[in-house]
Amino acid sequence: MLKDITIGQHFPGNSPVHNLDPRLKIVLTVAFVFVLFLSTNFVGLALAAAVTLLIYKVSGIPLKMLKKSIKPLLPLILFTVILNLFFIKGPGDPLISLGFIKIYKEAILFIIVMICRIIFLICGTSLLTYTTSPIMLTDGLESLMKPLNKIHFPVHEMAMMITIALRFIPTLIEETDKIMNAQKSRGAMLDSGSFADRIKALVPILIPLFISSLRRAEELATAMECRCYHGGEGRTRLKQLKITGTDITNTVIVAVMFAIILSTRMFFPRVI
Amino acid sequence: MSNMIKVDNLWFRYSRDSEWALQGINLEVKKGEFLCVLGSNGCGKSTLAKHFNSILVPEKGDVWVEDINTKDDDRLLDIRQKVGMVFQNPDNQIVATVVEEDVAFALENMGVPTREIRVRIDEAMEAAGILKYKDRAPHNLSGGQKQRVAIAGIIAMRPDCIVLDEPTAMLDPNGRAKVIKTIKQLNRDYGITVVLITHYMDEAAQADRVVVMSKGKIEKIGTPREIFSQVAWVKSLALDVPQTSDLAYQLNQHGYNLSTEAISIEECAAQLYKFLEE
Repeated sequence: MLKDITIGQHFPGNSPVHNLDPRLKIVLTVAFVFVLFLSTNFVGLALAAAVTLLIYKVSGIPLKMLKKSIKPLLPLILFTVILNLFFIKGPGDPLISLGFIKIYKEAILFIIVMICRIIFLICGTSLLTYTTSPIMLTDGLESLMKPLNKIHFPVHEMAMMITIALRFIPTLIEETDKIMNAQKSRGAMLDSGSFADRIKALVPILIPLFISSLRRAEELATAMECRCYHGGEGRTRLKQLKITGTDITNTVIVAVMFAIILSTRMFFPRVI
Repeated sequence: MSNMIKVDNLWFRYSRDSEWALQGINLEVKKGEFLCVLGSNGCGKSTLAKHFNSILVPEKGDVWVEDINTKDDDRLLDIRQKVGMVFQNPDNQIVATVVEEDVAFALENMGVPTREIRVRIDEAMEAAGILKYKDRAPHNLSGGQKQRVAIAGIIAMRPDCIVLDEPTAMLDPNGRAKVIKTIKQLNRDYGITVVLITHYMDEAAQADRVVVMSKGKIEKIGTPREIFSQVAWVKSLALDVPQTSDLAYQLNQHGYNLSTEAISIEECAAQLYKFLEE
């Protein structure tokens, strides 16, 4: 179950998507989020889907990863569906009317658009972590946020914290699995009982996990000190960020696609 | 031969009201040697190792790395560059999510120019035998491979000395053999001084000198032959001896007269062969 979590996973590769400068990739991802929430018609959303698929194709990330990243979202999607189905009211007559439950056409349209947005949002943003090594990602963030140094915001420290957090996700997942198995083998009931029981059953998993994380943190800090870590001052980089001509071309291509998606707003009526 | 590390009457405790973890340690680590530190759990060997590159500093006494006192804060980075350290759990030493980026971590911290980092990490990965995994994610590697990534991360700094604190304790026999082979190669081919802390006597048997610690003190320093031939004494410290010495020792208990000094498998076999012929 825990193995299914894909956030923060990186699939090394050598595609134009992988090689794009992380700063541009971050900017494009943020732009994509805006584009999604500004697309208010189905043509725009269909184009957004096409663009997402195209970029996945180019990056060589297997499409089954898409399914994997959407799966954990099903509860959230279901929640959105139910909530909106009953609470959005349209000006016309309801499509279905069962006593106090009234379902309007607007609600259904809104739900479809929302589902599309959530799915594309996750697919698009996962692509960022799939194709960018976390170190490149934090390098990119660090570089984009450098101006904040002027107001004494600890940019390097924050970047380092993110790197380490990402690095330890697989390790801690493995550890959680081990602890769960250990507790199960001693008779812990993790999958049965009432909701409250299950929450309580998590305590003997979380406590050992926290303790071991603290121990890991201490060991890692020592190991980092042994490797001359002394903050961001005077640090150099193995991979220096450099925006190449190809990067610019690729960014412009993607930007044009985004612009086309946005321009559909002018030609097609809003559905919500 | 000059000293790599010199420990001069070192006393250390973790807090004011706790017991002394180290009680008057005197030790000289010679340049280019392969030194092994043995001792049962809690005897202070890891604490001692942490003094070698100024992770801990003595409460009384001094530790010198070449001519630098480890208490000298201004030379801290020099000390850490000269004496690299590898720990038991490879998972807790790896910072980056791609092998080559992790190997480069120390060099990035030291401010080495990008072009030189590239050259040095390739060398280091080659020396540790992990060059073919350079684009892999560390969590997908085996324990032995991860530990060699950690070693490569240290040798990229081009240290004069590497201190390894039970680097093979969490590895399977195959991974363990590869790590030990790498360590021996670094010692022999690159002239790097090695201080190896271990519980495995067959690893200790390959060292130039062995230090035996007990309860925060050094009990004895000698060649593996000198140490392990005193089987009864070593066992009294809750330690093992190599299987070869143990075999001779056990046979001697039954009235045979074999030398416990034969610690390599070949020596031991030759001795037994000779004995059986007679």
